[in-house]
Amino acid sequence: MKIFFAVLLVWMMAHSAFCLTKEQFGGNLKVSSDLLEHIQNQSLPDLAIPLNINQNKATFDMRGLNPDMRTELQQSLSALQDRMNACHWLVDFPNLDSSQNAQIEIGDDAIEITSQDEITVQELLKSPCLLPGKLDLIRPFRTTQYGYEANPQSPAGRPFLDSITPIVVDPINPYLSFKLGDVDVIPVPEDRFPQISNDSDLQLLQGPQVILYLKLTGFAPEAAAKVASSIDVHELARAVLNDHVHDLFSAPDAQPGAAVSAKFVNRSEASYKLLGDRLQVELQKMGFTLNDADTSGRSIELMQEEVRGDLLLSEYHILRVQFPDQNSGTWDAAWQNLIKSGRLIPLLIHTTKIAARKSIQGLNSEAGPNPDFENCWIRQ
Amino acid sequence: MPFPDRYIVSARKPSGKIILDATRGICIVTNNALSEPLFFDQQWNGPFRFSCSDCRIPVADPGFNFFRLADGQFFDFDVFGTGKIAVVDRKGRLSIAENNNVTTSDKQVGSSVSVNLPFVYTSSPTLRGENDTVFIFRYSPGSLVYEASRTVEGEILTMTAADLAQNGKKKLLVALRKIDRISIEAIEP
Repeated sequence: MKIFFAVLLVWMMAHSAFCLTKEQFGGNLKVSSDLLEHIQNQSLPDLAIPLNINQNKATFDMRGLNPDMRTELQQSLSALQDRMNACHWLVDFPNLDSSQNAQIEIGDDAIEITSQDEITVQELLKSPCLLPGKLDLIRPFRTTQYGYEANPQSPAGRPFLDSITPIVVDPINPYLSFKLGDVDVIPVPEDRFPQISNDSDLQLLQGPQVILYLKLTGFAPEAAAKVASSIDVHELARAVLNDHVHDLFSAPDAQPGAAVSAKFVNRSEASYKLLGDRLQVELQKMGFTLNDADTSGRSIELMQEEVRGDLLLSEYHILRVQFPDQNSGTWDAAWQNLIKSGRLIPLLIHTTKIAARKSIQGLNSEAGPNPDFENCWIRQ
Repeated sequence: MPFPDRYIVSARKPSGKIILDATRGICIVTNNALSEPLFFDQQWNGPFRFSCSDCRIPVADPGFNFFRLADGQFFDFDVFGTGKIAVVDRKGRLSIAENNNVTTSDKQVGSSVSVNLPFVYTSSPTLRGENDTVFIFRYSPGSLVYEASRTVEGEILTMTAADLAQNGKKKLLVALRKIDRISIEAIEP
């Protein structure tokens, strides 16, 4: 009998179903409200609904959900098909017209998403925009008057935390709120990074990613090439963003022309404002005349877009929103054409940092750059 | 062994126990992914619902990774002898209850426990991904003394003392999560 139970134990371990691990349920986490903006935006696979991908079709099996959850999910996906919905652009990916858009079939027991190929389906599934509606029943956290509370009915299981309280912190120095014990997780401003990174009471983790790029209007390819050749992205990244970047910049194909006058638009805040200011100085040193009253019709805008779900989808979204005249063909061809014509200069992807108390475990997500609040827990 | 869907609930972190109830000759399965404890009979028919109105063993709390008995919550427990039980509570304390007396160790332990009298084995309070340690305590009624430790490679998921060779000598069977796999190792602590 004992041998039988030993064999049974081995079998149980192989199925990893009967193990006891150290994650503990309970506790409230106080999080800077900036980091909670997208807490209710999961991708469809994150909801732990059984998923089967067969070639270019993804099928979600809803039979395990109760009727209310099914209705909520069906309504959310239906909202995506409304052309007025802010996330409708997603169904056209990777094309810029609607000729081959993704088909979403919503049944009683299953949802089928069909796109042109398997890679495209995989990309679509990464986007939180695939679920644009309100999903309070099925998400890991429910919205309350004061913040968020664990949803015991979540298909992936109840989150370890009991609740999350959003805390408004000083955007210039959130570290002060952290040291005072008012908040447990904060974004790290790059200008405070050297100070915060030396604090032994906290752990530094990867935070949201942001694409920075220049949008040029009214520039000839040669003048745009002059802009590109005048920028030292590596120096900017090192000086302003502590090198927490992935370089997107490439040298221009066109021969640089002469420096011209233009309007420089920098609506960014904090670190990106500083980066824009330094960029402006670099261009002026290379002979560009930049002022707000410029009447040449030329402008250089420093733009930013948070990466949500996937880098390719974020770039596609930039095209759809910022360059609406690009409305045919595939997005990657249009992206390259914009770079060649000098209308778009991708600069870098900034990987922000967040600081959390060391007692918080499992906050780092393997799947994406955002904090994994549903799987984190507080060590007692 | 499939469990009917009607018994399945969502659990973010699986935990559970299989308990042989020699008195009734049944095998009880209590798991946090089940809505209630179930049992199999001696011929492995089942699973059947297990009436737990007078449970004297901790049962898994559906959805949570701990067991519950009366007002207590435990990460792990091991029933031994008649009416004797060793538990690791949610604060990492090892306690042994026998004849209405409870003996508790001062040393903080991990989330797994196994008894092979006079020894009680536990895992250590290390974080995920770190190498674990088997703590060895010596127990006698009213006395629970930490005696030694043995480091293992990987994180201890669960442990049980078993007489594998059926020669009267129990070895400690430890399930370890390593970097690339989960393995079961028999060690002589």
